[in-house]
This record gives sequence, C-alpha cells and structure tokens, in this order.
Amino acid sequence: MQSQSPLTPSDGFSRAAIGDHNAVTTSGVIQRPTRTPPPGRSTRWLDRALRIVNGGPRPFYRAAILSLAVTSVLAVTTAALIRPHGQFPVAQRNMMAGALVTLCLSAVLGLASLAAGRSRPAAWLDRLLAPRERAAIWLALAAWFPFLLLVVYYRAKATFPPPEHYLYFPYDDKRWETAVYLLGVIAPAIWLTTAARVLAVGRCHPRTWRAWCTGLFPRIAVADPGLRADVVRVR
Amino acid sequence: MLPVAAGLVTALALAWYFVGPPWYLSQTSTPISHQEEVVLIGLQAVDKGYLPYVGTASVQYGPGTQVAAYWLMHHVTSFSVVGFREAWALFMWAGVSVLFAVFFLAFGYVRGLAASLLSALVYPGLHLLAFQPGRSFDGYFGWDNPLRYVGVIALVLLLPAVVRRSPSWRGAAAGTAIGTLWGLTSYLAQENLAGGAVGALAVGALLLVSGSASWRAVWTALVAVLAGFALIWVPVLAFYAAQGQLVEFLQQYFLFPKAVAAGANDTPWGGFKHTPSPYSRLFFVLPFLLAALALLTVFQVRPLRIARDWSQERVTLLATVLATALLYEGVLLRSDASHLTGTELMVPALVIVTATVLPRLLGVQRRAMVAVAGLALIVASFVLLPHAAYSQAGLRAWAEAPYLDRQHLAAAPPPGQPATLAGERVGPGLDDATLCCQESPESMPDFLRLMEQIHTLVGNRTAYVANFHGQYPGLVYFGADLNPAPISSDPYSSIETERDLTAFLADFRTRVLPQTQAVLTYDVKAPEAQSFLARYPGAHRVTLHYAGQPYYILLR
Repeated sequence: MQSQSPLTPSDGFSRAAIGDHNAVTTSGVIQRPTRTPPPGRSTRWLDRALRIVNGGPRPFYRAAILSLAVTSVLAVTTAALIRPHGQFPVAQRNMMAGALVTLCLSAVLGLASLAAGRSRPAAWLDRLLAPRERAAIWLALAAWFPFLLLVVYYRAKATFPPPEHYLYFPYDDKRWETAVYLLGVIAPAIWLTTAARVLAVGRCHPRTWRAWCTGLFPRIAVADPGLRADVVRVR
Repeated sequence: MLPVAAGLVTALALAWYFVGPPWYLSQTSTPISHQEEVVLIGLQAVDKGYLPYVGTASVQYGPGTQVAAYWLMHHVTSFSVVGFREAWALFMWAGVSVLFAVFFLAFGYVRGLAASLLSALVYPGLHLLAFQPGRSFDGYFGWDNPLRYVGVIALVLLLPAVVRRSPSWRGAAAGTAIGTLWGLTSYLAQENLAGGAVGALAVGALLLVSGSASWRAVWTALVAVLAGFALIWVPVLAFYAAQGQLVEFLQQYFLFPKAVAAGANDTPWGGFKHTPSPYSRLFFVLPFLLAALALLTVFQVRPLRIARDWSQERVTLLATVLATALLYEGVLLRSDASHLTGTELMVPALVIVTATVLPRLLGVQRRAMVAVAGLALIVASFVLLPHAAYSQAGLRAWAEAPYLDRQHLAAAPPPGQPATLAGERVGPGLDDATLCCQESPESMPDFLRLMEQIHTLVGNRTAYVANFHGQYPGLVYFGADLNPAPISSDPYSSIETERDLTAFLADFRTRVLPQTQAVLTYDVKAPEAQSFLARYPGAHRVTLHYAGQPYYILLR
C-alpha cells in the first residue's frame, strides 16, 4: 500500500523531518509542542497503561486468561437465564458444561502464570515469536473472548420456538452460526491488527489518552510503526 | 493504461462469448418456472399503472430488478415471458461483464483472465443460467443473476485501489464510480447492501489499523463511495417520498433480509431433507479455509510477526478473502447448492489470488518454488469440487457450448408469431411448448386457452386472483392480461407470517373489495372468495376447467 512518501502535500501535511521527534510520532500523529499535563488520575492511569505496554506479553496473557474466565462465567449465566420454559434444553446444558470446563482451564492457566512469577520464558519462544507480537496476540484474544457471548446468547435464543408462524417457509434460527462464522473468519484479522497497532502506538509513549486513540488512525501511512517505535520517542 | 484497457476488452469479450447475445430464447421451451411466476404479478401491476415495488407490485427481490426488467420488456425485448427471459439474460450478461471486469481491474491481466476462465468453465456459479452443453441458453430465469452479488465483489476488491489514490481527484472519481455501482446493485438486489457496507468498513478499518493507509485517505475514499451510492439512492428515495410511499418502500426492501437474518427461510445444508449435493465439501470446508487464509494474511514470516504496512499484494489477498467470506455468509442462512452461487462467483478469484500471493507471503522467494507452490494450491483447490467439474470433457463442453449452441439454434427456423393475446403474453416459440409450467403436466396450448377465456370473461375489470392450480397467481394476472386489484402486497411473495396474512385479509375486506370486480379461484371457500360472495351476493359464478378440475371466476 505504501506507494508514496509518508508525508506528502497531498496528505495535507507539510513535510517534516523524520528526526523531528516532537513533531511526528511513529503512528503518524503530528504532535504539537505541548506543556506537560498536570499529574491527575487520567495521567496516572495512562502511565500505568504505558508501563503495562512496555512490560512484555505477560500482563496481556493474564488479561486474556481473565477475559476467558469472565466470559465463561457470563456464558454460564447467559445459558442459564435464556431458555424456554420447562426442562433445560440440551444446547444450554452443553454450553454450560463447556463454559465450566473453560473456566477451570482458565483458572489452571492463571494459577500457572502466577506460579511462574517473573521467570523468563524460554529463549526459543522469543525467537519464534517476539514478545511484542505475543503481547498483541494476547491482547487480541482478551478483546475477542467476550464476543463469544454473542454466540452463547444466539444459541440459547435458537432453542425458543419461532416467534411467528411462518406461512410458506421453514424456520431455523441460525444467528448463532453467523456469529460463530463472523467471529471466526473476519474478526481475528481485525482484532490482531488492531491490537498490534494499539501496542505499537502505546510504545511511542503518547502524552494523553486522546493522543493514543488518534494515533490508531494515522494521518499518514507509515512505513512500519513497530520498527520506528524503537527509534522514535516523543516523550 | 494499456494493460487496463486490454483487461477490460478481454473481460467484456469473455462475458459476451459465454453469456452474451444472441440467445435465441424463443427456442428455449422450458416450462414457466415458479420463480418467474412470482415476479410476473409485479410486472403486470406496473404495466397497469401501479407504483413499482410497493402494494400490488410488491416483490421480495430488489426494486431495481423489477423496474429494469419492466423497462427492458417495454423498450428492448417484449412484454412476454420470452421477453422477460431476454431481459434476464441481459442482466446475466451485464453481471458477468462487471464481474470479469472487476477481476481484471483488481488482479491484473493474467490473474484476471485465469479467475474469469475458472469462473466460466469450472465453478458452477455461472452455469445456473448459461448456454447449456448441447441445448440452449437456459436455467434459473427470474432468480440467478450475478448482479445480486457483484456489488459486494466490486466494492471490496476495488476499494483498496481507491484508498491508494486518495485523497486526490482520481481517487474521488474512482470512489464515486464504485459507490455508484454499489448503489445501483443494491437497488437491483438487497444482497449487495449489507455485504458491501460491512466489507467497505472492514477494508477501511484494516488498511487504517495496519498503518497501510492514512485516515484521510480511507475517510475520503469512503466518503466518495458514499457519494456515489447516494447518486443512485437519493433520487429513488425522493421519488417514493414524493409518492407518500417511502415507508412502504423501505419496509418492502428490508422485509426479506430482516426475516432471513432472523431465521425465516433458513435451512440446514441441503434443506431439512438433507438433499445430497456434489458441493457439500465446498460448503463445509470453505469457512475453515477462509479463517486460515485471513489469519495467514495478517502475519508475516522471517521474522514471524503481525504484518504492518501491508503490500499491495497482501491487501489484494485480504480483500479477496473478505469478499468471499461476506458472500459465504448468505449461504450460511439458506444453505443449499443454489444459494452457494454467490460464493462460487468469488471462489475462483480466491484460488487464483491465494496461489499467486500466499507463497510469497509465507516466505517462499525462489521463482520456481513460488510457481510450484501456486500450482499446487490451484490443484489442491479442485479437491473441493466434484470430479465432473474439472474433467476434460466437462471443461470442453462448457467452453464449446456458447459457440455450438448458437450455431445449431441459428440454423433452426424462427417460430411464428402467436395468434392470441395469451400467446403473445407467453411469447413466440414458448406458446406451443409441450409443458406449460413447472411441476404441471398441462401443455402450453391448454394453458393459453384458459387464459384467453379468462381474459374474455374478465376484460378490464379489477381482478383478484386468489390462487391457481399448482402455480402462483402472477401467472394468471400476466397470462390473461388482468387488471390487478389494489392489494396491500402480494400474499404469495411478500406476506410471510400468519399475523401478516390476517392483516392482509382484513385490508382486503375493508379497502380492496369495494374496488374489486372479479375474484378468480379454484376454491370458492377461499377467504377472499367468501368475502367477495358475502359482500356481493348477486355475483355471477363462471366455472371453467383446467387440469381436469374446475376454476371459478366470480364476477360482479
């Protein structure tokens, strides 16, 4: 896609030197010189978030485990609450069983992570997949897991009788299949790319939450924010 | 510029060869299908002065298809079943032309040619309505039409090129052009609207968050697309608003998409009877392949990481995967071989683009290895198809059929003009067909005799056809050239639930009956017939006969 210089007049920006660290972030955000914001709750949270971003994949792994556990609990609740009158349908029972197994798995993985403490992962793992890539994958998974509740919800709704009597056509509520399909085929690409971008922008140490958000939507197409994040620091 | 022009010329030439005129449709004596019957009432209603697409002229498919078919039948072909088939053949030709042109524009000459040929010869997406080997141009008239899906394909595949050129005048012009095409195809068929919108947003989001395009480029490209879309839709909506029918129009437009998304009309693969299909493997394996391809596309190797600053080839592969995935979603709901057609239009392109892009993305660098890996991927893709689809005999038959069919059809003597009004309504050649209609043992001459009788008896009276033996009432309205009653919607194609039917019958009794002068039915106990007889106790009852059974005309 990179067919032109990152900063061209056609983008509506004046050309800026790449070394002008205070003018251009790696994410393409034009940073105007600003005074250091007074330390407040927002800033403290931002600092904490930026420390997590720089902390490697472990916090994101734990976030993913936590997300999976919370999703499992909510899935059990959803399956228990959304059902037709009478006996529990098989689908609900299966979903609850699956969610409980997943909850146990996430508990084991979480405990294993806590037990491992701050020990470094094997070097081969770093060679196979760099820590920042693993962080992005875990972040994407942490954001992806809760969307599985849509599948649980629609699967539970599919056990209800048709809301209307259809005259000519059969009825088969397949919204849950559509949800599975979209979450399985299209969502992962978007989630992974977005997670990588969120972390790449975060590693540039944006001064505010807003700068972080706007950094996700570059004003210029950048060659490689991940790589340039190594050399450009705006803080 | 030259390769683009050469690509477009080749695309149009291929489309003309495979599905272009002359079709010699007066020599296609296929019985009138239910799918054609469903749309005939709308065409007849428009011909009698009703507003297209709403009320009496309502139809479950796209509004533009009805308007375009009516216009073509009046000005280009003829107002007959044969004329409708010719209009549908024109849709088919236009759809295939756009499809092939998009392949050439999005993938370049060689890959565009390969994808087009694979579409025309191997995959069945274009065979549902085509020159059938050893027969004639025949198939699923009234239903099968690439224009139902080509808007999604064009928008998703060409949007990256528009973003690449944005913001600039060229980008704006290209964006407006594909937006106009998307708007037009959404007007022709609802399938294009949601798929195109989701696809465009997904492509824009991915280009943005991957750092492959600036937000300004994406934003201006999407605005240009939206402007093109509005060029088509603003006049349409303004027209219906001026007629005071905007709400009815929108309700009709979204009626089926909403119902199908909620579960109506949806089936497991092969229907509830699980009818076996040679394309079951394609249906079941494709989503997993798409998921894997989408993931592979966002990763790069050496070193393994999430790709940033996507190359043009990576974007092309992702757009192709996305377009295929969006079209597949349709068959996930109504799961049968016919509804796999939309996906089958894109799978050839997916095969070719994957074969030419994926090996390099996975780190294969030597040219020979890239070629071998690509070839292996293409060959492997045939596993998804039945053997007959890629056998030498099959390929040759589909390649030769357009030429040989035209040859032998041209040699046959042209049929004479029909002598009666009903015969004219069916069209030359079809008026003496052995079989009248789908799933009916009656001959066309028998059917036409009945239509002539009905036309003579009913004349210009406002008529309501409650039902007909084994066929949809649209066939009677059209065949006997009746003046349809001003019903709120066609009960056979636009009323889905019992609640809607109750409301329809209430409206029929209170509003429609006073304006109705004739009711046609094979069962005088039908609710509409009963209401007519209750309101007009002195109504005449004329009993005709068809298929060995009575057919009643109630006249006042």
